[in-house]
Amino acid sequence: MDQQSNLAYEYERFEDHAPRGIQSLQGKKKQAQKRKSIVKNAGYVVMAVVMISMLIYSRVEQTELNMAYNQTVADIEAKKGENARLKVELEEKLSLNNIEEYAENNLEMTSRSRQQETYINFNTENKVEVVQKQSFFGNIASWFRNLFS
Amino acid sequence: MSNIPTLSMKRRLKYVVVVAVVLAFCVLVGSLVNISVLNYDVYTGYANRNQLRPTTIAPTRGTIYDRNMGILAQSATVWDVIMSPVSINSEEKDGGKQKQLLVQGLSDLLELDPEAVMEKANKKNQYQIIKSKIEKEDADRVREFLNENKLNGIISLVESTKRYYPNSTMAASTIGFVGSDSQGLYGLELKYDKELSGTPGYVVSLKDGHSGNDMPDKSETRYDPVNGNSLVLTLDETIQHFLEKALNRAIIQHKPDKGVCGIVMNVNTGEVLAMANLPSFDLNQPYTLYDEAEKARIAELPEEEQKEATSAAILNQRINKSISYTYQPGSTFKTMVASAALEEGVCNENSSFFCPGYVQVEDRKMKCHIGIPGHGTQNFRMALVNSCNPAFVDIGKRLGPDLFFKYFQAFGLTQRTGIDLPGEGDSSYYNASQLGTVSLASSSFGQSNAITPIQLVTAVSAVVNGGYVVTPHLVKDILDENGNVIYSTPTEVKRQAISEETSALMRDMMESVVTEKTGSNAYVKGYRTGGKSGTSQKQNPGDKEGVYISSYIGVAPIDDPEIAVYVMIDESTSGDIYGSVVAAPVVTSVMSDVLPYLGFTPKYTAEDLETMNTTTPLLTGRGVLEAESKLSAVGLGKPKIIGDGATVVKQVPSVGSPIPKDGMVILYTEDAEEEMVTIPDVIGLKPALAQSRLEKLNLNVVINGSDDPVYAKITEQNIAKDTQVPIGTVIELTSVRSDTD
Repeated sequence: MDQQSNLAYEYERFEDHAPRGIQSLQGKKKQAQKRKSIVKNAGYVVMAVVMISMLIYSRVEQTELNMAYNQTVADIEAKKGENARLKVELEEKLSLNNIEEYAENNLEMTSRSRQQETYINFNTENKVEVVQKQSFFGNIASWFRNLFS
Repeated sequence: MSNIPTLSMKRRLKYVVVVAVVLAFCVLVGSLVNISVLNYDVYTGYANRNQLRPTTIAPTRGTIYDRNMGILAQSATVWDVIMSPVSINSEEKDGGKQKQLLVQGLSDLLELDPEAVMEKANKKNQYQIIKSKIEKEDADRVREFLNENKLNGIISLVESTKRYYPNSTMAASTIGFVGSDSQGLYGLELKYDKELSGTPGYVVSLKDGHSGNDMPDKSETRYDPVNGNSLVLTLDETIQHFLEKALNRAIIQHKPDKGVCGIVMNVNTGEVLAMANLPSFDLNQPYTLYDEAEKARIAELPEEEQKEATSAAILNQRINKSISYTYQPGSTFKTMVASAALEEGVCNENSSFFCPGYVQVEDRKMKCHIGIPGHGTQNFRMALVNSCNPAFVDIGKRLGPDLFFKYFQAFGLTQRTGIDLPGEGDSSYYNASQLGTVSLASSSFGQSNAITPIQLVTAVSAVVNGGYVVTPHLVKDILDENGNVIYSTPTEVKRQAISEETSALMRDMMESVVTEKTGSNAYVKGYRTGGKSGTSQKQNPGDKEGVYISSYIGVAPIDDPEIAVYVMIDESTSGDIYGSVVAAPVVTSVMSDVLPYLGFTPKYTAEDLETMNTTTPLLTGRGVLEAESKLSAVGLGKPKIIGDGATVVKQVPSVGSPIPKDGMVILYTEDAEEEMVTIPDVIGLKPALAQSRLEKLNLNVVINGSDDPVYAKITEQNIAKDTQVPIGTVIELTSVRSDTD
């Protein structure tokens, strides 16, 4: 059928055009795909940021724990040192000279004299033996043993 | 022509951009490979130098224990207070407020002079020590002050260590001390410095730039410090205490110009149980003069001489006379000469000697201490008991120079003992070829040759222990930081100088030295002991004329010797010089304490029991008749009763006090005032006279020491003269036999 038009040339008529319906469908698909990829990329970026943050956070935690550990070790060393110093202070207070001086001057004590000592000789060590009653079979076993002794 | 780029143009552009990007990428990758692969070491080094910091970890110095694990020396953490003056706000900034606050605060907390602290604060540097080695309490207070006033950047507390010696002066010259860097400077601290010091560790770690805190990193390298080993000494703190107590009493009584020293040693193993040199010094303040008498003497010198005198005195107080001082041993050496003569058979027990009071040796007249007419005829045993010089000149002559020197060497007197202490002295002596008639004669009674006290003790130990010369030592065990024993010092026997038979005979003879003379100052009730005294004239260069060393060496139990106790008193000024008078009572006192402590049971003779005291029983609250009966039961006499009551309300002496068997107890039966008397001065009197005078005042008298009726005299009374005491009080007197050596 002849075209009813005033136009001299309708170049558009000779250009390739996809049917309008198909074109809009493909564009929508592409847009959807584009959106998906943006979301995916954003997701990747977020994941990367999260992973890097976690890495940094773990390093920070590690450093803080290390500091706490070092502080605890230093505290233990300080306490050990203080323990040693207090032990020495105690030894000083309990030195034989101090004890003797205190006993004589404050408690009015005197050293014991020889006649106040009594020595007891033990010829043998004290020993307690509990005699156990033998069972019937124990008696038989002893009897056999005595046969061969 | 169209302006729209064509496809081919776009394609060309694409190629150029890709090439450019690839090229740039290649350059980057290449650079990365260069830095991280090819020059890894170089750049890692740069990074480490910037980021890593090495920190030294100081090891803890080992502890020194006595044989019963009592602490004699231990290190603990302390802090140095360091100021950075340049970090203080300038005057222009705050008008000096911060500086003033800092100076005042630190001066108050650390008890310092504010002017001295201000002087340090005004310096233009970053490091000023305000106070070193402060303890935790003070350090915590300083930290609190700094935190409250935000002064942390100006003051820092740096960890340090301090060596503590809880017993201060005990065995000071033996234990020694350390310097400011905990390095051993004297005594055992110096000798065993390597074992005690340990090895420092270090850690190389990543530090952050902000506060310098450690950051964990795989490049962190750590070498743990190896803490120092600890020493367990052979010294026994209790025996050391007994020895020092007795030596202190000797100093008070005899006021020696050059001090005293004493050694207690196990004769079989060489373990030194105690070693003392007095006057001593405080190990916690080794650069301070300790002896008050010496301070007083220096104070009297002209001012310009005082500083030098003080320095000399401080050095002198550290000298360990027991190992470094050489002297002529005097009659104590006769034990070795006698042993040599018996061993060689040139004499026996029945050999006879005559002493007219002197002996002529070439042009020299050598006197016997007893003077003319001398000891007369005596056998070998009595020659030793009498310590007769002419007899020993004869014995030395019989030995001859070669044999004399052979035994001098055999007993270890020509070389150091090898005791594990720095500064052991060398003996000086005549060798065989140098021993002429006169020198042999004088050497035979202990003059001429000079040895150290530790050499003498080691030699006498060999005389009594079967002839074995052992090496004395002070360290028993070395422990690692976990307390495991990593080394034990064995008994080292160098040689056998004399036979067991000769040694047994010598033990018997040395016992005779103690028992032959009645009321010997060396007798220890309940124990069999042996010994030998020595009185030697000092003849070292620089010695004054007419000064003597008084010494005594005792061995117990003599039938199976365990310990030797040696005491030397240098230049006694009390008027007494003889070793048997000055030093023997000290040895007796030490043995009286040490032998029961070591578990030796006393076996009292009938004579001992007769003269021993008894204990005052409890009588307060009893009826008078009951009290009398109780006194009679314990062997005491009739009491003196004051008052008309029927019940005892007070007694003198109090319950548990020692009282002589013939003593009198005062019983008060009413609440009356005690009758008081004034104690007289009985020092210098014979014991019987002193007892009589005191008993007339209704006092009870206990006499310790010699009861010889002729030669003994009172040297000490436990309650000073002119003191008011109630009647019945027990006065303890010390009696010493004061005849010759």
